[in-house]
Amino acid sequence: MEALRAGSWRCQVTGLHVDHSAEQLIKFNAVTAVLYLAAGGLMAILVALTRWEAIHILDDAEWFYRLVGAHGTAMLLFWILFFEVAGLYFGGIVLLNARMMAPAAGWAGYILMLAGSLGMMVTMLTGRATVMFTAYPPLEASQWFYLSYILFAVGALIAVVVFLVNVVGARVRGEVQTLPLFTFAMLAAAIIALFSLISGATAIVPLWLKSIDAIDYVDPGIYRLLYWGLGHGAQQINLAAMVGIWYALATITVGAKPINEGLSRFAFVLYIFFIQMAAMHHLLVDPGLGRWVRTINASYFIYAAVLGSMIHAFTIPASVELAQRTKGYSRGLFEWLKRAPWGEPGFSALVLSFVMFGVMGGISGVIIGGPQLNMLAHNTLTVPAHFHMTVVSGTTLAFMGITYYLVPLIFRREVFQPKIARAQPWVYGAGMFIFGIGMGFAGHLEGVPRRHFDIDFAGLPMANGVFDNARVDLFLATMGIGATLAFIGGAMYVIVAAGTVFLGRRSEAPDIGRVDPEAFAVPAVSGASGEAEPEAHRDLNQFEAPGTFAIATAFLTLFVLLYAYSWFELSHVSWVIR
Amino acid sequence: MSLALLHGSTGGSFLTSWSPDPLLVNLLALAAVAYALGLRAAARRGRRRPSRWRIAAYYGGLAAVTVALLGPLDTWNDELFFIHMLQHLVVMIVAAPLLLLGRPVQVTLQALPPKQSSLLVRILFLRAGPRRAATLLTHPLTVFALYNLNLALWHWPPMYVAALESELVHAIEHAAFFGTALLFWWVIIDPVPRHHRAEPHWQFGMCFGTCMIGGLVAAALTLANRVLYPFYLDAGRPWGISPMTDQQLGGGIMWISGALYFALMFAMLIRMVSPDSSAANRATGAAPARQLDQLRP
Amino acid sequence: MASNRTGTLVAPRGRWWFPLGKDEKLWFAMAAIWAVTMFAMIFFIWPAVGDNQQTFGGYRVDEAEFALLTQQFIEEHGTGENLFGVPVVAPPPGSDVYMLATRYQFRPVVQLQRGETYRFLFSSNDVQHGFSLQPDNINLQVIPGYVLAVEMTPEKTGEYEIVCNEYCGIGHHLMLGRIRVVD
Repeated sequence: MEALRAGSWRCQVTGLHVDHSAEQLIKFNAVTAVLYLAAGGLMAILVALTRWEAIHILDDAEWFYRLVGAHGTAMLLFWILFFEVAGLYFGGIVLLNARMMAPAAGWAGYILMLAGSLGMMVTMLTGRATVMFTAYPPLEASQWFYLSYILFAVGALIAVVVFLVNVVGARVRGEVQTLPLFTFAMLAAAIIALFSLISGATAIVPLWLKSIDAIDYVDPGIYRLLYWGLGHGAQQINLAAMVGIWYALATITVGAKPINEGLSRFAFVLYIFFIQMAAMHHLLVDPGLGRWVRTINASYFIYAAVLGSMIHAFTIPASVELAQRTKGYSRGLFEWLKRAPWGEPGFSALVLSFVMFGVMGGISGVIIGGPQLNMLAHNTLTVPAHFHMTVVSGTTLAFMGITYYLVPLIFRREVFQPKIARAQPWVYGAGMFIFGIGMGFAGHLEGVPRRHFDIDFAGLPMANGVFDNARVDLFLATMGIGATLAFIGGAMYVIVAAGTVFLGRRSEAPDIGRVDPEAFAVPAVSGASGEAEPEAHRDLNQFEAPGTFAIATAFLTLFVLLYAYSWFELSHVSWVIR
Repeated sequence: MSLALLHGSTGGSFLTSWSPDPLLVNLLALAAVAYALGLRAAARRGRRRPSRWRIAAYYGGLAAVTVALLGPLDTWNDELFFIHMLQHLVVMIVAAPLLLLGRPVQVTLQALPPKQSSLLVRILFLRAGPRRAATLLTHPLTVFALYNLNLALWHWPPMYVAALESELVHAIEHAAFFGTALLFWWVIIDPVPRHHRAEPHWQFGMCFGTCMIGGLVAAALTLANRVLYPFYLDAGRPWGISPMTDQQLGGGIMWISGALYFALMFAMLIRMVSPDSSAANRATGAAPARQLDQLRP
Repeated sequence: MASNRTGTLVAPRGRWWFPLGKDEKLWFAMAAIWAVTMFAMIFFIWPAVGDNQQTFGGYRVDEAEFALLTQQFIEEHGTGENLFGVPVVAPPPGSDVYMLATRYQFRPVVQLQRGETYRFLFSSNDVQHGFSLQPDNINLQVIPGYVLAVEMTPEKTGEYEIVCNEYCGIGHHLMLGRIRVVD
């Protein structure tokens, strides 16, 4: 573009102009995110090893419940949202080569988020807010907890608005015409965040008012409706951001270009319009909803959003396949996959995240999101198994993968211990896979409840040994082993990320592995696409991406089988329920 | 197929219970003899015979029809639901594709003297009217809709029971299953090379959609909390299988048979990318197509 | 046709909306067919043939009043027996069954007859609870101020455990209930 702009530096790897304010905000948000990941991980291993009945590491139920709530909050809200805010600034400012507008607001947002998050952590860990992540009334917590919650939400809202202002500003100034797909994904995430956070505010503010005795009743049924607008909406922010990162990783590691730009964007639009209504599937066995609301939300609207995910599930591997076939890896169905850069942490993280999110998280989510089948899943371990496969195996692993590229570039430091980085996605992914299998089976096959300190019920005679069998023991042990492995993988990530930030060798052009030369920049020759045109020779009767179709069909086969099996299970319940 | 007779038949051995319906026996014999004669005539004219496995497939298909419609499956189909299900599956997904793999239309064309053959081709493939009708009938959407509507319709309890209670309706049911199945496999298998074959994307979609609709019917049968076809409540119960178990067994068999469509989809993909596939297609497909071209007036 | 593709981190140049290719169309169709199939399963097939429906509903109730109604129910149909300190109730077939979830028990223990239908009324008089019927693994949400009314018919005899699976306080993991089904 133009010569060096004031208040920015030019990245020697990507050629992007990085605004100093944006850079600082990205750094602070990213580091805070990783610190919360480390804290949440420590709590995670304690919780998981307590649920592994044979170990039961925590003796104190009180502490267990505190940690379950704090773990969920640290991970689901803080790690993910701080990282996403960093992603918003990266996509909305750095990638657009733009100057940052309203950096002061960005800092205000960060400080509010930090203060709110610390307030929530302190109240939760000191036992003043043992109300779980969901804070369902009439459970009561300290007013400071609710106030911190509100502060955090306001801070996040400000960050989202700063992002929107910057994107719109860059567009108005003519610095960008069409947004890059990654930024478009972040825009979708930001829009979903807007209405999620507003829905969350309408849920939490009354709780705070009640905690300071300003009002005297909060309807628990209506709270659930409003809360899940945030609780599930927030996961859709993660979803949109994660899919954006998948596309980014595919481009960075193999030079993938979306097979159909318009279709990919359309899928994000589906998320924006339909995902919020699908949030009602948390209320499928509540007394508050009527049958029609349940059915319509759990079928029409959720499927419109599922359709969006199915589109990405095809277009992302198809884009990778096309890029690889263009490079000449075109023999058979899968040579393109065999010759992919499996050693690059970005690629392995992409594939593991993609597969676990889709196969384990996606399929389980659609199954338990149906009104009747939900009766088999509500509040059992199936539910956390599902969202650990989406938010942890999916989102977190994708975030980890992109870290290995963006952190060295933004901090201008060499990756600390690249060997650990290369192994990390595999260790973490394997751990989460085992964890998900154990937890999912314990919940789905055995009905083990979630958020439960002791499924031996402290030996109460009334328990009648309901969960006292070898299968439950095996599944929970599997879950514990997986959690331990994932904990190691998570620690490896924190070592590499923190090591790069604090100990990495300074470098203007850090080595971030084999990165596609066109990933960050439009090729210099204008007009030419820089891509060979294999389409011209292709037999139009043939599939463009047969390997992807084979994988996608295998995925659908599994989906159909598991779906059918779930109905089979429901038909075997020995109670008629109407 | 007569009710009184069948309800007494449980005493007989399963494998030896045959009910030779004269019309069907004659039709099947005719189909077998005509194909053999056609092969001989084609050989005499110096035309290339279909490869051996195709001939075997054709006779295998005829054998499958025989077993399904004349053999134990037919004798026991109103005693046990799952036997009836097996009978339908053999007709629709075993016999129909096997018969078409034998390329009976091509054999017929090659067997006829050139004049008649060319006349037939002209009428069937080159005249605007029949050609348009054929194009419409073999459009993937038409085929998909006919096949699946027919399948769903006959599993609707009033229709299903009607077929069990009336021999005529039952014959219509089987004819409809067989006819739509022939149509379905016609556009998948390429019986007259390069004619009416759906393109791969359509075939893929058809297979998937058919699997889904069949799956829904099978799910209803397998998961139902009651016997959907009360006819079987009063039927004799060979082997002591309860009506519920019988229905679940039948539904399960239908459900599992859906795997065939997934197998087909994978086979299509593998065939498509195998290095010699396009060459192979040309070798097997182009020559007969050229023959058809030569027949063009 | 689509040779103008750009990576995902740079702005697409010029026209980027291309007609869908055959692969994309087919996949979109397959995904849509699958969504419609699942919809048909939820909406048509299962309601027509299945036993476990979601036709139940709820209504608002005063918490104290519901606790009172439960007490009346226990006094009316109580068998006089106590199981683990919880009164046992044997309501007549077809009747309403009040089930109060309260920290930290499900009141009362209910004795039902196999094959008979009962209308269960679930509510709470303190915080939210989760009704989890084991080992059949049927899970429902219990919310104070609301009644969840569910018609339930046991088809097998035996002792069924009720586990609370919504966090309700420090004694959450000690909260249990029991349903007994007899011939």
